[in-house]
Amino acid sequence: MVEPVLALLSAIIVVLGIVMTVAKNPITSAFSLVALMLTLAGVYAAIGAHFVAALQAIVYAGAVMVLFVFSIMLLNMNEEKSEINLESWRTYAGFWSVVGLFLGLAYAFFQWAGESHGPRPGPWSISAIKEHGGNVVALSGVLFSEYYIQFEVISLLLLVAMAGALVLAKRKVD
Amino acid sequence: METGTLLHLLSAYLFCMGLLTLLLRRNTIVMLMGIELMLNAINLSFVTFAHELQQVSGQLQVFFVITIAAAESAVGLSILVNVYRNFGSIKTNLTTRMRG
Repeated sequence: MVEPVLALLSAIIVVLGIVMTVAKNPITSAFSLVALMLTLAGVYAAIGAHFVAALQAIVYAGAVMVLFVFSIMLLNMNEEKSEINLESWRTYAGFWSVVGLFLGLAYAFFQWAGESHGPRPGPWSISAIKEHGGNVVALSGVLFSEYYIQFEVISLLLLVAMAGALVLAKRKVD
Repeated sequence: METGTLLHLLSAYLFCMGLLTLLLRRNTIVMLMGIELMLNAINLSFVTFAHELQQVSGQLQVFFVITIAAAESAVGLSILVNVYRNFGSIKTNLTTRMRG
């Protein structure tokens, strides 16, 4: 059975997704995306992924979306009509192929839910994580033992991205 | 319906909304937001599978995906600022110099 709080958060996410896609003003899209990400952080917290919930709220809703809102302000766009062209056949082709993709994914997930001979569950049940000292402790133990090379590589990637963004956004002086 | 199935369906829905945004909109910033939404859908899928299979590796993959998404949006938005300087617009139907 689904907990009521998860059902409520899912319903909010569904509505916010539609608002983000069809909104005329980019600011409306950006703020509904912020709200969607915060709601998603609530979903993560509700199923026990506390570290991911905090990361989602801080990095996505905090940092990335501030960057988006800031660039919208910088580029100064004001929309008077909707961008979605309802007369072109391409719009309908795109829409119905995405609907088809959703139906295929939903079918696959229902198959997965009905399957009883899937992969065996691992050692980290919710009670095991609680005994180990909480979600963050369990995650950090695995992160700095099994995944430490990926961790170093990702720090290098962040450095390169920072340098790249600086070089790209710099105004050319000659 | 079980919790896992609901969250899997939600992640499929979010992925499809992100793809739809990418396909239907002309504004490049909103298209980038669609990409972010698709990355969020993948994160939700990772966390749900980790929850179902009682693993923590899925949550660690989310950590990496979030880092890459932050790097991607920083580079993408600075490219957009450059596009705006060169074309005076960031609509994909107006910036067509490379179409030939």
